[in-house]
Amino acid sequence: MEDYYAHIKDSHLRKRKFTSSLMIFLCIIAALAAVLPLVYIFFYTTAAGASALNIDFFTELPKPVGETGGGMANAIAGTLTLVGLGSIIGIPVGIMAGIYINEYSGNITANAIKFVTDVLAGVPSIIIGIFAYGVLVIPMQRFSALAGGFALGILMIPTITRITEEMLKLVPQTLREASLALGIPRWKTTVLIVLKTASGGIITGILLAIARAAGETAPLLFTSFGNNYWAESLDGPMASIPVQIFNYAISPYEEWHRKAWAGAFVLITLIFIISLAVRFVTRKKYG
Amino acid sequence: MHENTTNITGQKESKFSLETENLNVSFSGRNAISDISIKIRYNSITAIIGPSGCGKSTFLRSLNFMHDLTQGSEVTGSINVLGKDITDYDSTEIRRKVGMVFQKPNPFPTMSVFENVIAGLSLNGFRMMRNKYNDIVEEALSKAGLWDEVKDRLKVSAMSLSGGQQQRLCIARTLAVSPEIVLMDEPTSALDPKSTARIEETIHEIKSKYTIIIVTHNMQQAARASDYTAFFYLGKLIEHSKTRNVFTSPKEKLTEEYITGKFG
Amino acid sequence: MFTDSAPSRLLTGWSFIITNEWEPVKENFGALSFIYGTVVSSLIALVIALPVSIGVAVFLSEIAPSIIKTTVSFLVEILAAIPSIIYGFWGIFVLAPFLRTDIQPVLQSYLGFLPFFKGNPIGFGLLAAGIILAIMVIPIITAITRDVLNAIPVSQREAAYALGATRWEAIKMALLNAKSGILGATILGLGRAVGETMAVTMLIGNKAQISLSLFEPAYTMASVIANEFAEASGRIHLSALIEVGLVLFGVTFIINSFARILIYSFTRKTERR
Repeated sequence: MEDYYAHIKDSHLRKRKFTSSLMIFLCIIAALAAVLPLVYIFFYTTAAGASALNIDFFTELPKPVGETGGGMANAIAGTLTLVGLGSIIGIPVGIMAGIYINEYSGNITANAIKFVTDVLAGVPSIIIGIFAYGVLVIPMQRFSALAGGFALGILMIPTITRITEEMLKLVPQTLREASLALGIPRWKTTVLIVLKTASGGIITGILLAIARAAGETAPLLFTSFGNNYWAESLDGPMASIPVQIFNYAISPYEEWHRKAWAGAFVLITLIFIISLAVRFVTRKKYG
Repeated sequence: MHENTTNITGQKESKFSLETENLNVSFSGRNAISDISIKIRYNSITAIIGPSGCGKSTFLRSLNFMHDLTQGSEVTGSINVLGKDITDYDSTEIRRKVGMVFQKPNPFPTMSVFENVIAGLSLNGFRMMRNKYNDIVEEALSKAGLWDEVKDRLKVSAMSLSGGQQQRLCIARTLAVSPEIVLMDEPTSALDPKSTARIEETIHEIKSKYTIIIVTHNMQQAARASDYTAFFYLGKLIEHSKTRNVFTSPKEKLTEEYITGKFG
Repeated sequence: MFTDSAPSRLLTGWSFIITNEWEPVKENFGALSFIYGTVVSSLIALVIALPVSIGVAVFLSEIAPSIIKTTVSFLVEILAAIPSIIYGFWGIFVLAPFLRTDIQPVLQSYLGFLPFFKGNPIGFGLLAAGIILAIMVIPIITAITRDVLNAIPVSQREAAYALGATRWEAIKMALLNAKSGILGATILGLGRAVGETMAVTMLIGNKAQISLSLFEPAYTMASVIANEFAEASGRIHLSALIEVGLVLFGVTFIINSFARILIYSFTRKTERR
């Protein structure tokens, strides 16, 4: 027996230890490689974007090619409007679906809703755009902010549903029982006790969904379309930061590229702040 | 505190606030308790003892309709609460008449001490004057023996209280909706001995106004705190009698073996 | 979508997905080149992303000390949150020029005999799209793989150590144990890559052709919709684009359902243990 072990030690152990260290080293390299593009994109956008950023960017309309100056005020307002419209649809539907799935889990409808939201989460956003196009743009005969907001709203649903469901799962069953045992009806228990207890987590989910919606481009291309001026109404085309970045980025003009970087910088800052806030809130709450 | 007086006088001809007959509860086809017939007197403390898994909690939870929350549960037989069959009540109504205190303290974490006590009233939509609420809170907290400790801290989060205080807060919360019957599911099993003693005191103090049924693992507790004791074993009611009788001269061999520690 | 694509389906039938002539003006619609572009760019993405993601996930769940762990997880989360338009934009101005001047000539001079590396090194094309997609799916695969690894009980790793395994051998046991979960994560990443629109549209070169070379421009299903939908030249063209959307939806639906089933079954299996 002892000889056998000695043999293992001599011939294999060094090699095994080497493999082990090598693989762990490779894992660390992988982590670096994954983080590298982020850092690169972040600093590049900051460098290229911050320099192009000024007050005009937030207050002025876009200028035609050749003229310097101008900004993206309409696109910023547009993104806010579109995300707002999306939230009106996405937040209530998402939360209600999440509640239904968790509080009524096991029943067939709840499982079906869970499946549908899971599938919806994987549907490419451009397909959602086509859907909104078919539902709103074709009947209305025009591109509209409403259609864009509708598309964003649908995109927000799965994120909010998922996080609502998960946060509700963290609420101890005993709390529900305590409330029911006081003779509080089930729906009141759900809304006033369970939902309230989980509200911190759900708000972070909403923020994440908003961050994602704010950066979406594909579904807006043929719903809210784009607009070089202030949008007159919700049933007409409306500019948005991502679509504006896209149009500027694929243009050949240096000045427009600079504007696009500034837009990208604004978006990325927004997302960074939201992510940080989410991180902070969730860590404080759930250790 | 209101409306119940008529009820009590109306039902006084029966000495029992709670009666079950051939009560069966099963989960997904598996019987948890079978053929439980028991009568429980007004304003008495009944302890339910028995080894784990004997159906004590199941029995308790069937008395305030908690089982309709569990999937695949089935209840047969009859439960008579305050002279009326349980199925004649609305589920929220029965839970207001039959309060429940749980194993682990479970105050609502988003609410203050004050809000917790009145939760059962405010969430049920009872609107009343602020000072009426104050009265109710003081009364309920005093009954639960917590008033002196928290009267200056009514606005702090319920979670900042100690475990024993939280449990007494839960008792106060239950009493605030003025139930007739209070069910307690191992109310002290998560607490230290000192808090346990304090809760037992509380139970004793409120006994004159409520019918109390308490499930416990702790036989000393049953012997100390109750008037009647029911022994459950494998889903069946083995013996139900005055506590003194059960502990000094049990009729059934199983009971004797259990209370002398031969099993369980 | 099904009804809206009816005109195109009637016109082309099955030839829609097996021919590659896409000439809106002549009302000639064959989507094969888009399907090809989608499949190849996604595969490139997976080939790059999978090893990196597994590496990161292992790093996060088994190796990193807790401060680094939270920082790196946070960065990876942000990576997932950056809008694809910004990836595309960055790709146009940084990645594509870098590929054109530094990577592609090198690949061509050493591996130019392979069909994959023939053609004009212009930066934009399948390779650029694949790389940007890889960056975008890494966070997805990493997050799920990490969760799957965390779901494996510590006792299993301890058992491996107790038998004298080295650190990597213990990790390898965990990975083997988690393989169906990792497969699910990969397929979910694939679903994302297949449906990804903006970054790819900006980098793939947008040319409806089928070429073995990774340097050549191509087109994906999502990009053709993004580019042509708003300016479609007539009813049939529009409905053909919607049909492309339908195919894309079908493909992602199948991919995602499959991935979900794998992940569900894995988590259930570990829970039962």
